[in-house]
Amino acid sequence: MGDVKRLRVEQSPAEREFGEAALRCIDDVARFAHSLARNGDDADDLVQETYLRALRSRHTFRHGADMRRWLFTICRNVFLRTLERAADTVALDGDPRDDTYAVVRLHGDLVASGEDRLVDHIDVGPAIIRALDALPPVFRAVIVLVDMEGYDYSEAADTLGVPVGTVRSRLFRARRLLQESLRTVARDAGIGKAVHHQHGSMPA
Amino acid sequence: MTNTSDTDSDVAVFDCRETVRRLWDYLDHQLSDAEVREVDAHLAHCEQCPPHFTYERAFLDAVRAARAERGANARLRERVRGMLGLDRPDVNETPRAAGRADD
Repeated sequence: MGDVKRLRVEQSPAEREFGEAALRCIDDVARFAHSLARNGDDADDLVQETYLRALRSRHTFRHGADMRRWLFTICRNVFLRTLERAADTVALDGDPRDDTYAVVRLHGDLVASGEDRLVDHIDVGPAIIRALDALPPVFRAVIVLVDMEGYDYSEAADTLGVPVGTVRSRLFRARRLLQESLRTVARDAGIGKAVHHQHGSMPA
Repeated sequence: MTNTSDTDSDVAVFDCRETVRRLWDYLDHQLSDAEVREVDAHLAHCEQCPPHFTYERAFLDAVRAARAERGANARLRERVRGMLGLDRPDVNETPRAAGRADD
């Protein structure tokens, strides 16, 4: 995707400052791209195209503005224009708080099975990433923006180009799905068994 | 969970179901001050609900911590660095020791 060769060799101080600020956001942009794209290669392509367009549009970036947010918006727009537009829509019926109630019931199941200490397990980080990857992109994106990058609902809504209420409903559903997925991933990885053994709880 | 309610104070206290339905809004600081007081009032006397809030807060902490598991891999970082015309590492940039764990 796109021409990734360097556009110029000689830089002004402002251009270098822009480049350095943009590069400092690359881990954040990569995480967001991963939340949108189907796989690692597509995500890397998306990141490169994002930076290429950012470079071409750097005259529109206001000094002192939020670079990460600006890059996220470009990334989302690139994604919508070039990759999986259809995947950015999903219909969620009902009250989002029903999903909240569902995660509480799931927690009750985890307590009963002795897996409730899963979130404290040393290996839960990679398991969370694998569980996150198993979710549809619309749900991954809100988890990454709100729960990982620390955006509030309004900032996430602006970045994704959806209403705040949509962010909220997607987020609640996403957390429910992530916890269900995490339980499966952790069991497959043997984390659940380790938790059982460590705490002497009854098996599920 | 039990359906408990409290009429001992001026604060209308939710029962367990209504309290846990507000769990994410509560943890995400999306409730009004009055609603927060109502949830807090329930949590103060309920035995069943506080563990759910504690667990979900730990879940959110774990997700936030998992952020470090993913970022740009070294190859991508260098390609973008080249695009931006930045040949030398920026002293202000925090290097990622292991790159992306899932590639």
